[in-house]
Order: sequence, then C-alpha cells, then structure tokens
Amino acid sequence: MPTASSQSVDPSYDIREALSRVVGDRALLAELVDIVRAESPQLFAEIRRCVEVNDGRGLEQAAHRLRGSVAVFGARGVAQAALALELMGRDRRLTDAHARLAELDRELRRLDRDLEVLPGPPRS
Amino acid sequence: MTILIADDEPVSRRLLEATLTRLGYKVVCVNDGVDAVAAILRPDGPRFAILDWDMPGLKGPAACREIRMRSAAYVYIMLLTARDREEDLVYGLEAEADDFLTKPFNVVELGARLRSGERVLQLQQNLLRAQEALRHQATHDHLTSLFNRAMILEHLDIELRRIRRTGGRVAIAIADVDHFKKVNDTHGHHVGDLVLRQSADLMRSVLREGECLGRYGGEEFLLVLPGCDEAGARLAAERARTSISRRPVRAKALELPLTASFGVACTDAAGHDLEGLVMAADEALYRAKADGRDRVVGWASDIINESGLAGRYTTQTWPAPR
Repeated sequence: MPTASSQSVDPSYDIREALSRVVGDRALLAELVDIVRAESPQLFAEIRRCVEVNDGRGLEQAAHRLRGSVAVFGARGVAQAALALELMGRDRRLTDAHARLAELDRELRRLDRDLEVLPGPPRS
Repeated sequence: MTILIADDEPVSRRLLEATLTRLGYKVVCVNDGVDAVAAILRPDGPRFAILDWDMPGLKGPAACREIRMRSAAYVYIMLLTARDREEDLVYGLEAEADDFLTKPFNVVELGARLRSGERVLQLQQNLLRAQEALRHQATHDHLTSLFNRAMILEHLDIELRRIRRTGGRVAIAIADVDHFKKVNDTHGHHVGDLVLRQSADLMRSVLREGECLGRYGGEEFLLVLPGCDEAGARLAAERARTSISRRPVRAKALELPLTASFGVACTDAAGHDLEGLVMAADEALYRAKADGRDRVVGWASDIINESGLAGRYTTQTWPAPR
C-alpha cells in the first residue's frame, strides 16, 4: 500500500483519510477497494445513459450513489465531478452534462489506476 | 445490542457493518427500505436502525415514518445521508428520525452517536418498566400478588357483560379464611400474613384455565369461574378448600391447621347483576360459617327465601373427618 508520501503530487484519493475511515484496518480497506472498483463502471454506465436520454432524476440518483461510494477514499476529483452531475440532475438542466461526464470518466480512470496498485494487507 | 443497517450502497454498508461489529454491536444488513421495515417489525426485531436516505423501494424518511406508524416498540432511528441541506435535515426530523449521520462518517463521532442512542433506548426501557410496575401495583394485592379487589371485580364485570352478549353462565366463590382474627391476635400479623399468602398460593395452584382469583378484602378471596354452573362452581371451590385444609401453616415451631369457608353463586344472562351475585355468594358463605366452617355452600337462584334473596342453599360439601 502506498504511504502518504509515496502518492503522486495530485493523488486521486487520500490514503490518510481512507485509513482513518477504516481505523487502520488494511484488510477492510482492500475489501472496500474491490467493491468500489467493481461497482464504479456500472454506475458510470448508468450516469452516461441518463445523460444521453436526458433523465435528470436518474442522473441525480446514480451520481449521488457514486459520490457516496468513493467518499470513503477521499476521492475528491471523482466526488466533485459526480456532485456537479448530481446537481444538474436535481435541477433537470443537463446542458453541460457531457463535459462533466468526460471529466468524471477521466477522474474515475485515474482513481481506478491508483486503487489497482494499492496492495492488500501484509500476508503472514 | 443489534443494529439494523439499511443501505443499498455496498461500500458504505460494508464499512458501517465492519465498524459497528468492531464497536461490539450485532448487525443485521438489508438493501432497501421495505426489507428494513419488515426486519424491524419482526418479533424481537432490532430496536436501533441506521437507514440510508436514498434507497430503492422505500427511502429512509418514508421507512422511518412506516416504522413509527407500525412498530409498537420504540425504535431509535438514525438517517444516513450525504445530504447536508437544511431542508433535508428538517424533512428527516419531520419523518421522526432521532438523529442524522453524514456520509462519509467519522468513526469516533459514530461511536458517540450510537452511545447517545443507546441511552435514549435505555431511558425508554426504564420508563416502560416503571409504567408496568405502576400498573401491577394498581391492579394487584401487594401481600399475595393476586388481583386486588378493584381488578377482580372488573374481571367479574367483564364476564357478566360477556354472558349478556353471548349467553352462558358465570359463577363465583367467595372464600374466607376461618378464625383469621384469632390467628392474628394470638400469633401476630406476621403469622396472619403467612396464612393469607399460603391460602392465596394454594388456591392459585388449583385454578383451571380461564379461572381467576383475587383478594377481595381482609381474609376474603374471590374466585371468578367463567362457564360454570352452580354445581361446577362448588366443585371448583371444593378443590380450593381441600388444597388449603391439607396443608397447615408452619412458622418456626408453630404449626397451625388452616381452613377456609366458601360461598358459591352462579348466574346466567337473565340472572343476577354483579352486586346480586356477590350478595348471593356472601349469603352462602354466611351459612357455611354458621354451619361449622371449612365447607362449601352454594346458592341456587330459583326460589325466594325469608331474607328476600331469590334462591336457596344447595348441597353443602362437608369437611373430611380429621
């Protein structure tokens, strides 16, 4: 697992925050990483579908759920892009949604790459 | 304590589950509001629930309202949400949630909020226990733990109203401990109390399904016997009488023979009201005392006697020879 100092200059998530959420339980953190990496592509697909069919309510729900899912990791880039889409959905104004969708896609890919290299707990 | 987690978002649900388990709670997890309500409403369902706001089916506030409407027991409900707008907070409180937890939650804060919720539930338990103790105090006799006079008469009144609606009969037996005043005067109130407690326990031990016993006053007890005719009631009273007379009261070196006299009366829908029925049983009890005590005397309500009560004494049950 990377330490705070080994993260890049612009980290996609906050390892300190993530570890504090699980009270230092690296096995649990690894389990949560597996869940979020499995769930995120489905949620992103749902968000994209809602943008394409102009479904504001569906967009609000899916983006809200993605935001909640990554919040544990302090993944601010994903959270901000998801919040912007959630608010667009809530206001039923999806005019700028495609730009935000591209931003969310980039942030999610970055987060996925970073989480992929996050090692599990030490083996005994 | 068991806590219900209702959250469809798997990361949040797993983190919450692991955190609560680490804090020493048992955890039940469901994915939506409908399952949350069903889990709470099960007998012995959790009394503490953490409900996510945004769930499929029934959202957190709606599930909260449903639980408030349908659960007899108080459930402490914490709404879990990433919403932080003032109107959301007000909406949640109006749905009768007890507390809010904002996602992502802080573990220390969560622990403190859980303890606060537990205190509320504990206070509510204490209140219910106190309420139950007061109810018991108001309806039961302190010495014998039987129904008190008001309660046994209320029970009799309910039975009389029932037979007026649906037909059938109800009988009563008034029991009076023989020579009680003498026992009290000779051996003191401590032995007197022992006599009353033992009489109550022995009579209670021979009660059958649906029969009911209360302390009517002083050394008198009232047995309510639903569905009994006069002969059946005399048999029930006889069971009570022999249960008492078979066992003397023992207090240290003292051994006192214990007996009681019984007056029995019965009515149907067209017969006595409560006052008349009690008066008839009293009349029979008076005869049981006058005829030598330790016996059961019944009162049958079919002829008029000299005292004006409509009825006559029926077969008396004599005590077994000692």
